[in-house]
Amino acid sequence: MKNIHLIVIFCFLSISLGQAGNNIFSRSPYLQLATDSSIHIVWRTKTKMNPIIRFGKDVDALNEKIGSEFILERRTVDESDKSINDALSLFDAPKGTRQFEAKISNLDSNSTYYYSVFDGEKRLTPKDSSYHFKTHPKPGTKSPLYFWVVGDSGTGGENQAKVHTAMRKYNQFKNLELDMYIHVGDMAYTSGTDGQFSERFFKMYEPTLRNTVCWAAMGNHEGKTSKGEDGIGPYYDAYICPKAAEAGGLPSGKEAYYSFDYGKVHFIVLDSHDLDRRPTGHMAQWLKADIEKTKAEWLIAYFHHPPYTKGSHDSDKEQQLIEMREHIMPILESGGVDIVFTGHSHIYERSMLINGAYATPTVSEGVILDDGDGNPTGDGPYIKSAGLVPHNGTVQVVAGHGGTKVSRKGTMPIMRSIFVENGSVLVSISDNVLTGTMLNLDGLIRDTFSIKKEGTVIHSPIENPWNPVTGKKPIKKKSISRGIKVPPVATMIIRKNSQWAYFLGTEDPPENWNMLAFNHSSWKKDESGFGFGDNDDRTVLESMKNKYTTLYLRRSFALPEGIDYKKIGLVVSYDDAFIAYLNGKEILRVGIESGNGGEARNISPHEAEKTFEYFPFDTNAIKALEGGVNILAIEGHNHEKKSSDFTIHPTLILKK
Amino acid sequence: MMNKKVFRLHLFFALFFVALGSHAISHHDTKVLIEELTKRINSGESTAENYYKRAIEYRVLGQLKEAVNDLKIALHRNANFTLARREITRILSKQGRHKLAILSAEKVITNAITQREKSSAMILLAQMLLNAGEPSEAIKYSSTAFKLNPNGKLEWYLLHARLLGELKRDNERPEILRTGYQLTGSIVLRNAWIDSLLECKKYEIALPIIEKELTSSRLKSSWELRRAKAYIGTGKINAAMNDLRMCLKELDQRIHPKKPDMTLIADRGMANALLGNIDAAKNDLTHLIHIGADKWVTIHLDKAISLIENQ
Ligand SMILES: [Fe+2]
Repeated sequence: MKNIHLIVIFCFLSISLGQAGNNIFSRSPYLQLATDSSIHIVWRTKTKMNPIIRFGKDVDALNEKIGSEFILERRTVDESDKSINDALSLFDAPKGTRQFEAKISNLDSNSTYYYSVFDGEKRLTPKDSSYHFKTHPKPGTKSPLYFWVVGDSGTGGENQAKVHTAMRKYNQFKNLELDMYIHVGDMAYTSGTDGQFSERFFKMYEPTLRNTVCWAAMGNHEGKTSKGEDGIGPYYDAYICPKAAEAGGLPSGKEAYYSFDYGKVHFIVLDSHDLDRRPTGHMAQWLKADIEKTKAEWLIAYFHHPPYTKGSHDSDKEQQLIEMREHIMPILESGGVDIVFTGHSHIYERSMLINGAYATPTVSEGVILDDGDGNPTGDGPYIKSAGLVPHNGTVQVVAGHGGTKVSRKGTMPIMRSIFVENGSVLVSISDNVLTGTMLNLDGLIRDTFSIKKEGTVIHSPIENPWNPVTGKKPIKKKSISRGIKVPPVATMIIRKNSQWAYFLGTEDPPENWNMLAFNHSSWKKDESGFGFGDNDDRTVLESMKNKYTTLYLRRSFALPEGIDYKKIGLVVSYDDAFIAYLNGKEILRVGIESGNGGEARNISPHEAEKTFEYFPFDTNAIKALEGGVNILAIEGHNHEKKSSDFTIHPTLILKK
Repeated sequence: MMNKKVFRLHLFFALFFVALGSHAISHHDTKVLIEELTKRINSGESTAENYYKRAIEYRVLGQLKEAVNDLKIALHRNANFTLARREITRILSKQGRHKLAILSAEKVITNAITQREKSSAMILLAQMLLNAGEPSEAIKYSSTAFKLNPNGKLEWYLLHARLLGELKRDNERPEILRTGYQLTGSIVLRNAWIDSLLECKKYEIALPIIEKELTSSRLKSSWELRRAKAYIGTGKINAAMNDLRMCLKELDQRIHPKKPDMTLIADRGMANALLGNIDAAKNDLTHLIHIGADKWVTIHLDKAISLIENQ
C-alpha cells in the first residue's frame, strides 16, 4: 500500500515538473503578437541566461540576431529582490522562473523566418525548420488566411491531445500550415494558475505554439486568477496582447480586449467575463469606435461567453451570455460582423445566417436570413455583400468542445449544425470566400460551411425557417397556398401539352426520382395534362380511379440566356394538389400539409375547372436553378382514391 | 505608497483561496455547479469560499437575492473577505439598495490594507455614491483615490470625468480625460476628451483631430456628428447641416429597424436634434429611455432637445 502511495506521489511530481524535467525550458519558445514587421518570441527558464535569438530566412543560415537589449526579462515576485521593476514581475510562477520576451522588429511582411534561442553561444533549440515564424501581410493587402479555433480545451487530458493531434494530422495530410491560432477561453482548467497554464496549454500545444501565434480571449476559468480590469494574473503573464493597437485596430488601453489585422481581415477580441458588458461600458465604446474605423473586408469577433447556446450552458438564462447578446451583438452587427466564435458551452453549435437575434429567449422567427446549411456542396454558401455591410448576416460558432466533457441541454433554434463531441474548427479565407470546417477528435470532418461575398446582396428574414429540432423546414398549418391569376407571358419555357416522363403511383418511385442525375429513360412518356374524369386531360389515366392517388412527372428544360429569374413561375392546372421540385429541391407545395409521395398527408380537394394558376418562383426556387439543364419534377395528388377526377398539367413561363 | 508588486501578492492570496478546491468541480453547467456547492455546504464544507462561489453562480443566473444571502453568510464567516465584500456591494447597488451598497463599500475601504487597495475601494464607493445620485459626495472619493494612486485606471478616469460632468464642472473634464488618455492609451478616453473639448467650445483643438478621423474611418457618422457640433459652435451652420444629413444617412443603413443598437440611436437622436427634427429626436429619446439606456446617454440628448426647442 505504501508503495502505491509512493508511486502516486512520484507520478504527481513527474507530471507537475513536466517538461522542466530534462529541458532547460520551463516553457518552450512560443510566438506572440505578430505584425507585418515584427514578432515576439517568449520562453521561460529556471535559471539565469544570456538570451539571444538568431533568425533568418534560410534555416541553414540564421544570420541575424538580437540580444538582451531587445529581450525583456521578467521574474517571479521576490520581496528581497529590490532590483525588479513592477512590470517585470510574474504573478505566481514558480520561484526562480525567468520569462524572456524577445521582440524582433524591422522584418519583411508576409515572410517566413527561422529562429533559434541561444544562451550566449550555446544553442538551446534544435536545428529544426519547425522553429519558424511568419509575419503578417501588410494591412489592407489581400492574402489568404488559415487559422485554428479552439475553446474550453485546458484539461490536459486525452481528448484535448486528440483534438490537437487531429488538427496536426489533417494539416499534414492536406499540406496546410496555420497562419494563426485563436483560443476563445478556458485554456487552463480549473483556475488558470501559472502551473495549469504550463501543463495544460503550453506543454500540450508546444509543437504548434513554436511556430503559430495564439491570439487569446479570456475565459471564466482564467478569470479565477487573472483580472481583466488590472491585466494582472497568469493569463496576462502568458500572453502579449496588443493594447496599444500594435497590430492594427484602435488602442484599447487594456490587454483584456483588443483588435488586430491580418491583410484584409480584422479580428476583434473581447473579455466577456469580468468587464462591464453594457453599451455605456468602456469595452463597448471601444468596440464601436474600432468597428467604425476598420476598412477590412472581413470582420471576425471572438470572446468566451456565447450569445447563443444550449450546450452545457444556456444563453437564455445566464447573465453574461444574455448581455453579450443584448448589448454587444447589436454593435457588432451594425458594424457588419461576419462571424462570431465563442466557447464556454461545451459543444459545437453553428448557426444559419442570422441577423438581429437579440431577444431573450432566442427565437428563429424574423432573424434568419438564410436557412440553408451553408455547405458549398449542399445548399451552397451563405451569400453576403462585398465588404463590411451592416446587418447583412452573421454566422455564430460555439467551439467550446476543445477538450473538456461535452454536453447538451437543448436546441438553440438558430443553429444549423450541432455536435456533442470534442473537436475544433479550421477556417480559411481566400479572397471573397470564408470556409469553416469542424474537425472532430478522431479527425473526421463533421461540418463545413462557407460565406461568400460578392456584389450587393439584400437579405430579408425568412418566414418559417428550417428547424433544428425536426431537421426540416416546418410546413405551415395552412399550407394550401393557391396560385394567382396568370400574368401576360413573354416566353413559354415548358409549354402546355409538352412531353413528360411519368410514373404511376401504384408504388413509390426510387428515392432520387426528382433529382437531376436520375435517369428516367425507363419511364413512360406522353403529353400533358394527365388525369381522368372531367374530360380535361390529354393523357387519360383510366387505371387511377380507386387504385392509386399519386402521379410522378419529370421534364428537363434549359433557361433562355440573360433572363430575370424573378420573372419565372409555374403555371399549373391541378386537381387536387401537387408538390414541385427543381433539381431535387422542393420549391412549391400546394394543398398538401405534410410529407411527400406515399407519405403525403392532409390533402385538400381542389377542382381544376380547366383553369391555370400562376406561382412565381421565390428565392428558394431561384437558388435551385442551374445554369445548363434543369429538371422540373412534380408529384400530383388526388385527395382520395375514390375521387371522381384528377388533373395535373404543369407549365413553366417567363412573364413579361 | 504601496507598489504593484505587493498588490500582486495580495491579489494572489485573495484569489488563491477562491481557486483552492475548485479542481474537484469538473462540470460547467451552472445549475449543476450550484447543486454541487450546495451538497458541499450541507456536508460540512460550509466555508466562506464555498458560499462565495455559489453566490457567483447565482449571480450568473440573475438570482440576485440568493447571491446576496450567500455573500452575507460568506462575510459573516470571514469579515475580511474582500472579494465577497466588493461583490455584495455591486449587487446591492444593482438592486437599488443604495444605502446598503454605500455602507458596504465603506467597509471595503476600512478593510483595505495597502494604498492601492484603499484607492481602488474609494473608486468603488464613488461609483456607489454616483449610482445613489450623490455625485458631489462621490467626487470626494474619486479625487482622493487619484491622490493615493496617481496612475489610475481607465475606469477611474471615466468615472471622475463623468462626476465632473454631473456637477457641471465641464471645464475640468478635458484635462482629466487627456491625462487618462496619455497614461492608458485608451481610445475611449481619447474620444471622451474630444467630446469634452467640444462641450467646452475648444473647437480649434478638436477640429483637426476630427478631420483626421473623418478621412481615415470607414463609418463616419460619429465623426460627422462631432464635426457638426464644432461647425455649429463656429457659426458654419450650412456645413453643419450637411454633416448631420450625411450622418443620418449612414445611420439609417446601420440601424436595425426593429432592434436598434442603443449607441446608434443616441447618435441619431443627437443628429436629429441638431438638425431641428425635434419630433424625431424626441422619439429617439423615448426609445432610449424605454430600452433602459444609461442616464448619462439620455441626459445629453435631453439637454440638446430643450436647448433647440427654446431657441
Ligand atoms: Fe467557460
